[in-house]
Amino acid sequence: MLARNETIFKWALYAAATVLCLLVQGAVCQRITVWGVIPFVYPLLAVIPAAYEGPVPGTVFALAVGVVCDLLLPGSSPCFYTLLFPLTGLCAALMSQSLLPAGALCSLTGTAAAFLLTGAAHGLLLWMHGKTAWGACAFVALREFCVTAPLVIPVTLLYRAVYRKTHLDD
Amino acid sequence: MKNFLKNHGLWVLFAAAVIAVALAAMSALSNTSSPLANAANVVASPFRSAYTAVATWFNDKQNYYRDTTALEEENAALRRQVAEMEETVRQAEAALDENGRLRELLNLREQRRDLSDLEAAYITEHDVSNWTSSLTLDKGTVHGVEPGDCVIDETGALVGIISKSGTNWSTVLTLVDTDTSLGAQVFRTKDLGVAQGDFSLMGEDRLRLDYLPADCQLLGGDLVVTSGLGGDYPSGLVIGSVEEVQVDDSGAASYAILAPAVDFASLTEVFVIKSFDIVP
Repeated sequence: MLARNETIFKWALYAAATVLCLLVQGAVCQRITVWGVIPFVYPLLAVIPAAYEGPVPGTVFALAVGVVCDLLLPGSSPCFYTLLFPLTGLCAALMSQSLLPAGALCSLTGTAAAFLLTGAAHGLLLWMHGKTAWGACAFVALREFCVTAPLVIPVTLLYRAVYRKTHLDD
Repeated sequence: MKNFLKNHGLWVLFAAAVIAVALAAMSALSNTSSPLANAANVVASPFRSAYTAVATWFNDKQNYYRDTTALEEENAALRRQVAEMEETVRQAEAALDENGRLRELLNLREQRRDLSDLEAAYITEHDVSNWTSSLTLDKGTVHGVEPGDCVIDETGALVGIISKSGTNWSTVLTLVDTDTSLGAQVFRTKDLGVAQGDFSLMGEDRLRLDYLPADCQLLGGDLVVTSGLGGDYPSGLVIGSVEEVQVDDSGAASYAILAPAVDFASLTEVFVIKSFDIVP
């Protein structure tokens, strides 16, 4: 059980790491187009900390990332990522507790699930608006995952460093 | 020697006098140099050439050093001048570009007197997500930009619609975004339809023209403009041109695929229509 100051310090470090990733997304990733899509690190920021921190804190952190994502990105649904990212965070946290230990493989699997969920949700939204495009959504989600997958390793290393720095007793 | 001169001095003097007279006579009679002068100069000539060559070499070296120093100074001055001129050219090119855009805008203002209030804005960010097609502008509510305002380029072609605006920023959803939908009219046939984004076509920067009348006869290249019906958007803004006509999945209706008149990737500056007069 961490003291209050340690808890504040831990989440401040997670927030700083997340801000760093957001800066990289804005300054670098958004200006690179590979296979017709830009690398999209936001789902990684919801999944990887959740895999390290467990279901409850991980889901809350993913919710915060979702809110930030919705505030920064244009979209038809105002709370699209706010609803989706806690789900992806929870999935990643449960997976790290029962299936795969938190690490690069767990992050990659969680990220794949996050992109699958995001693509399905976008497809569902389009279907609800009468603009069905399941095939195009699946193709974009696949390309988005393939282009973003290499970034899983540096982001995992970053959050693992934060985890180790703030869980010295574990 | 003393005895020689004593015994033969008179003869020597006589011989010298004869030689002198002969030389004088030859000089007077000949138009070339005398043999003695010639012989003396022939002997001196190589030495003269040698010291002239040495002097020339020294002069060359001195001139080379002086010229090199002068050239280096001149080169540095020219480089500075070239840099200044390049800077001037860059500024001139930027001014020329801006001038061209403003001239086109001026023409547009003269042609389209209904577009009464335009706000120039620079694009600060292109697409930020793979699921939307958007642009971020550097003008916001403080400049009078509001959601629903149309955004055009300097030629009057429609870029998109403002979807969100903050104090000093705003987001434009481009024509090809799935949330964009606006009344359209085929310029040649006057047929009405709805131009809307389609996710399957968004990656190719294309959009659909739906709800066309059953008897419409579209041709490739037909110009499509905004209809202005409903009064939400100005009429006559160029959306794009018909690329192909297809029949939908039900087979009952046809739709056209439109190529926007604007190249979104190369846009740097746009104009927000803050208000307009409805033209009947």
